[in-house]
This record gives sequence, structure tokens and C-alpha cells, in this order.
Amino acid sequence: MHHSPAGENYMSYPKGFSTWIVTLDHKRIGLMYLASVLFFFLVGGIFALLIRLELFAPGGQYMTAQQYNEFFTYHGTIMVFLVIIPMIPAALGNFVLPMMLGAKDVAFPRINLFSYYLYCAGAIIAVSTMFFGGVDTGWTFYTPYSTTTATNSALMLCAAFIIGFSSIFTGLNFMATVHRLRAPGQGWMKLPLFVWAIYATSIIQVLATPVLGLTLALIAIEKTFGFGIFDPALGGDPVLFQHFFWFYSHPAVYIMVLPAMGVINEIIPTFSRKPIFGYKAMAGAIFGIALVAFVVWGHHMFTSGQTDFVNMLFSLITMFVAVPTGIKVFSWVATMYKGSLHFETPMLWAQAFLLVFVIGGLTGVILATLAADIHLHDTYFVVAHFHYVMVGGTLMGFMAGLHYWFPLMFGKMYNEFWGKVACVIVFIGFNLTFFPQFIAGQKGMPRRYFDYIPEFRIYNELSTIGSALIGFGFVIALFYFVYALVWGKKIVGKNPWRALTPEWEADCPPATENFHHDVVVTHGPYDYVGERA
Amino acid sequence: MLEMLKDLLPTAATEAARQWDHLFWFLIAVSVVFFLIVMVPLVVFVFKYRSRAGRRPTPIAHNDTLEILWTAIPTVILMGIFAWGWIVYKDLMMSAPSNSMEIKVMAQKWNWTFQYPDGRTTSNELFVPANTPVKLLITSKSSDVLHSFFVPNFRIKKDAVPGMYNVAWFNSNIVGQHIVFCAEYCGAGHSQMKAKVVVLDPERWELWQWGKEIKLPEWVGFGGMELAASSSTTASAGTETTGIMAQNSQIHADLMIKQGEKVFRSKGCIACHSAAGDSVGPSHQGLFESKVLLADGRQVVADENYIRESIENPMAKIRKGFENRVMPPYPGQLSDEEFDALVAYIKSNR
Repeated sequence: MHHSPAGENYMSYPKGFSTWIVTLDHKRIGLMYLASVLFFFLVGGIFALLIRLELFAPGGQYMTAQQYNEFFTYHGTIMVFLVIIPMIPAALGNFVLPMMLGAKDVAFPRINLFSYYLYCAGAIIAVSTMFFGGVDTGWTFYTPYSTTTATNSALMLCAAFIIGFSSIFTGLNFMATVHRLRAPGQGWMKLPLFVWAIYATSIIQVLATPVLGLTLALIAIEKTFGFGIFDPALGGDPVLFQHFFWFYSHPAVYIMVLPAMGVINEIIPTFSRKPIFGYKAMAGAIFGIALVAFVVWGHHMFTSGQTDFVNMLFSLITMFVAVPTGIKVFSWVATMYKGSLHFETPMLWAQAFLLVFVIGGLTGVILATLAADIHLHDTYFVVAHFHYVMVGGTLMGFMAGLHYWFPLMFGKMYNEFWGKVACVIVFIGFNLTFFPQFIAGQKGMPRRYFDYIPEFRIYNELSTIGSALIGFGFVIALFYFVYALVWGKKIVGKNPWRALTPEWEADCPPATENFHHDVVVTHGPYDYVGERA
Repeated sequence: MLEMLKDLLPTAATEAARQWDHLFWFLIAVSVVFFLIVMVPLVVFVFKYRSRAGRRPTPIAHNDTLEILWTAIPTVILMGIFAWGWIVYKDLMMSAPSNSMEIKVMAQKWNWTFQYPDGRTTSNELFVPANTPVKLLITSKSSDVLHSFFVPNFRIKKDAVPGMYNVAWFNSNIVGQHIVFCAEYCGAGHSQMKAKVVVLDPERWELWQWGKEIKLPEWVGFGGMELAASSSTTASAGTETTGIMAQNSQIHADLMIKQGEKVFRSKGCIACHSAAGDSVGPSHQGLFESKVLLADGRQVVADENYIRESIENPMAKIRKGFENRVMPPYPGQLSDEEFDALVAYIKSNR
């Protein structure tokens, strides 16, 4: 472990490109993840805009059906595996989680760097499929389509397999870090809730992701040795693939959204100058969601031909996801009650998160209702629902967190006015994009449609206009972030938000060894008691 | 207002679809109420508790009563929602009466083929009489991929899976053309894989059965659109001379059984299986829809899927008492038509 000399910080010392690629510093690894995730967010976003452009009017305009199918596949795979899953744990979490524990680094710094390299390897392979035949299976890889397509699904499965291991290693690392490296005095009930959220996420990553690897390995075995596992022509069962796939991919939804909830847990009390409402229930709810996550996968398969009895069970269990989720939402609102609310950019994003996440959650209950899902399954209603949860939830949570920790990460502040403008534009654009999709879906428009009947035109037009607005909002964010990094004023002192969690005891930006002193935790993370304004 | 809401869903063309609509609007109403329960306080707090000089926040950290209430009340409401969802599901998907007209739906890239009880087939157009329960046995061609049979006006959707028969049903009282979408991604032609259900009044149904030209009824919803895919009607031999579908159905069923018996002999099933009683393998006498005891203690109903699976992959479900017998698996050795015939033959040995 290097100590940076006076006047230097983790970014400036040690110097040189080569020190970055072999760095074991969790902060530098976090930044490298951040840069990669943002790059792939741009790539996945461009695919999204291309999809929306094509769907502005019925019929083919700018591309063939085959190209369209490949574009939505790339949009889905890139956004899920390279952006939404690692966006908060691997990028923000890597940076702030050890610091929230008062630690110098994660438990296994070398494994941490190794997971980043696995992520890069997987990402390169995933992108390389564009030049080796493309992929048109959708991110769900349903058999027998994925095993019979002429496109290069095998290479993409290989990429997903590798990225999965990156995810497992990150999860293991964070679990060990939380268990072993907490500051003196930091009992479990004094952990910031972001740590609880990342911890629960890590458990899911470690337990569920191997199933994805196993499934992809089974496909490889089937293709190589001709064992009938999923392919009905060989005596296999294609529905079995769906069971395996969703056994991973449903918990993966919570890998995506729990960390965002963790971010909101930090921001709302800090900007309300009040303790979080119901700390224990909040921590419990995170674990409740993580637990139920493992036993609801069948709700993706209500029309697949699984038995009616199994359908009934999965519908019943899925209802219980809403209970802890409700506890969290109610408690966030209660935290603001009789607070002293500040609406700087992070808090504005947190409010946007609340609004859209509630819509995402409520439409989730509608889809969990067995009969309702029969009509709505695989329509744009589902597309709208999961974008409300994944974009509205995870992405907005990430943006809240990025604005919140930006001064800690870089020691500079972005322009507050443009921060708010971008937030409002993305928020409006988001709702304009995805709310009409609920209506198109309930009226019967199936998802993954290159062409649609004229009846659905108005909803698609609104949606495309909204998507352009989202893109515009993010371009503004890109500009003021870059401006802040290059020309931004240095922050004077520490802790611009006056937060109580340990990561803010460090300098902005932190020294290589994080803190100049040994962190000792003497108070709870949100003990904002009786202070003024 | 209510009329506006109606426009936000496709026309409900079956009784079950109307039940579905009640459930859906109830769910929307509950969602709106909960949305307001969260958003009204949020907006009030945003204005009321905005930081200003001298404002001192009150550090309320929890409230047991409130927390118990907002855990318990949603739980109760969610259980109610679940129950209603299950009740409507039973009507929507599980209630095909035993006297339903049975249609085989075969999906393949990228069209739908419908086979009627009398053996005639149509593609991309399913003609049915109004006010008659219709049971759909949905499957996908054995070398094909997944598809999904989705009729928005009936609120039904069921996946077409190769090698598997999935069941859906409807009973529509609205004469007209109802659009069918493929709802499971199946490649380049996915969004073009449309069909229609044409619900006919008794007069036109009578004419159609005789192979006469009929004027198609109006589209129900979906703006009088034209289907890109061409549709054709093919009548199997003898349709014109023997008349109505019910009579032909009997003839067709007999034909299928005969054909199945032929497969039964020619493919060698007869070496180990017999209708007379158990021999080397279990007997198929009285098998269909009976309860079968398996070696692992489970009991399953011998439906079409069970029979097909037991032929394709005999080791998947082993009958009790036949643990040590070995039957070679038959994947890919029988065509879909041969399977259908064989299943019809086994079904006939009631």
C-alpha cells in the first residue's frame, strides 16, 4: 500500500498510465469501471436510439428486420451485462464501500483487479460478435432459437459466461470486505444502508450467477456432444432452459435494483438532515427482497406451458416482493417528514427515482397477477415496466449516486444549475418514452416487433420523441461533467454535503491510503440530531 | 370518461375477457390509490419541509404502529389481488368445456396452420362459429423455434413449443375478425407472423363448412387492417360430398386412429406394447386421461404431453412395475403427423 505524499491524492500518485493498469487501489479500479460502464452506456444508448428511430413509424424505414433484431439484442445484452449490473456495485461500490467501512481497500485487491479484467475480456468478446456474425437472440437467449440461429450466439454466450465470473468475484470480495474490514465501533447496525444493499447484492451475485454459467455450459455440451438438454429435436426440453435462465436472471433484476435502493438510502437522510426512518426495517427489507428473489423466477413463464398449479404458486410468492419494497418506499417518504430538505442535484435525482420507481413497482404487482399477465406478457407493457424499474430505478439511482459522490471522487464540483436541468430533461424524456408503452402494451402490441400495425403509431411516436429527450439530457450531463473535471473549481475542505457516513472523513479527492487517520465509528450513519437547517 | 378507458384496451370479445377487464381496471385503481398515498405526502413534504433559515428537523427515527400498518395492510391487499388473479385465470385458461371444438394450432416460421376436427386445414385464418367453445392444442413444428399464440381481443396467450401441446380456449360471442399476434420472439419474420380468428354467425359458419365463398365479417378493433400474409383454405378430400363438420370429424378421427395403428405396427411399438394388457411394456388400454403411478411414487395424468414424452423420451417418466425394462428413445424418428396419429390411436383405446 502506497501512501501519497502531502499535496498528492490517489489519482495523481503514483503517476503514469502503467500504474493504473496494474493498480490494486479500489478507488482507481472503481474509476476504471466507471469509465467502462459509461462508455458502454453510450454504446447501448445509441442502439436504443436506433431502435426508437426505426419504430417512429410502422413498416421498415432505415434498417431490415434482421438488423433491427440484432440492434435490440445488443441494446439488451450491453445494457444488462455491461452497464446496469456493474454500474452501481462495481463502479460506485468499489469506490465508496471500503471507505464507508473506514478501510484502506477491499479484502482481496488482486481479485478486484482480476474481476475488472474479466469484465473487460467479456466486454471485448461481446462487442467482437458485431464483427463475427452478429447476434439476434435477444438478451434472453431462449432455446431453440439461440442454438439454431445463423448468427454468432455461441460467442455472445461465452462473453456472458466470463462477465458472470467478474460479477461473482466482485460479490465475494465485497462480502469478505464487509465481514472483515469494518472500522472499530462499526457494528452491523451502524453500517450505512448502502453497505447493506451491496452486501445483499453480493450474496445474490455469488449464489445465482453460477447457475447462468452452468446453463451456458449445458448449451455448449448440447452443441458439442449432441446430448438432448434443451433442444426438442434431440429429446430435450426448451422450457427447462427458461427455468435455468430465469433462476439467474430474476435475482439479477435485484442485483440491478438493490444497489440503487442503497444509494437512495444514503441521499434522502443526508439531504433531509434527519435519521433514516426505520433503519432496521430498511435493512430487513433489503434482505427480504434478496431472499424472495430466488423463488419467483417462474413468473416469467406464465404462458410457457408450465402447469397451472406452478403458475399459481409463482404468482402467490411474487406478491411478497411488493411488501418489503413498499416498506422501503414508505420509509423514504417518512424520512422526509419534518426534515429540512435540501434539493441539490443528488436529491433531485432521488426524487425522480422515487416517482418512477413507484410506478415500476405498482405495474410489477399488475404483472404478478396471474390472469393479468396472460394478456400483458411479452407486450410493451412489460417493456415499460422493466424500464421503469431498471432505467427509472437503477439508472436514476446511479445518477443520484454519481452526483452525490462526484466531489469525493474527483475533488471538484459540477455546475449545480446544469445538473438540475439535465435531471429534469431526463425525467420528462423518460416518462414520455416509457409511459405510452404501457398503453401500447395493454392494447396488445407485442415486444421485439420490427413492424407494428397503424393502431399503435401514436404511442411509438411519443416514445421516440421521449427517447431523443433522454439522449439530450445525458449529453448535457456529459458536458458539465467533463467541464467540471477539466475546468471545475477545486473543493475547499471536506464533506460538502455534511454527511455522517465515514467515507466523507477523507479528503476530496482521498489520499491513496483513503484516510490520514484510523477511522473509529462512534455514531450511527444517519444520526442527524437536532441540528439547524 | 369510461368510454375513454374502454379505448385503452382492445375490445373484449369473450366473457372471460370481460372478467379480465374488471380485474385489470381494479388493479389500475389500486395502483393509482397507492401512487397517491406515496406521492401526495411526498409533494406536501417537498414544499412544507424545504430547508429555510432557523428550521430545525425533528429526528423521528421510527414508529412501530406505522411500520406494522404499512407492512400488514399491503400484504392483505396483495393476497386479495392474487386470489382474484387466480380466479380469472381459471376462467381464462383452464375452463375449456369437454364439448369444445378442438383445433390444432401449428406454428412455424412464420405462419400459423389451423387443423379442424374434420382434418381440413387453413393457414393464418381460423374460422370458428360464434358462441361455441373452442379448445386450442397449440404446438410448434418439431424442428422450429418457440412462438406464442396471442389474441388481444380474447386476452389469451400461450406459447407454441416444439414437441409439446399447450392448451388455450375461448368462446366468443362477437362476430368479426380478431387479430392474432406471435408474442414470442422468433426471428426476422416475428412481427409479420400475424393471423386472425374469424368468428362467424351460424349462417356463414354453415356456408363456410361446405366450402362456399363467404363475405368476411368486419374487423373487431385494430382499424380494419389488412394482413400481409396471404391466407388459403384447403379442404381435405371428401369435404364437399359428406357435408357438415361434425360428420367429417368422425370420419377424420377414424382415419387418424387407423393411421396411428399403422404407425404402431410399422414402427415396432407392437413388439412390446399391447391393448390387451401389460406385456414387456405397459398397455395403452384405458391409458388416456387415466392416473398413472410412476416408479418414483408420483402420480401423473396421462394426457397428450405425457404420451408424446413417453414415446420420445421413455426414461423421463417410468411406470411403476417397469423399472427394469428399457425402451429405446424415439427422438426425431417420428414426424409430427405420425405422433399425432399415434396419440389419436392411443386415445381411442379408452
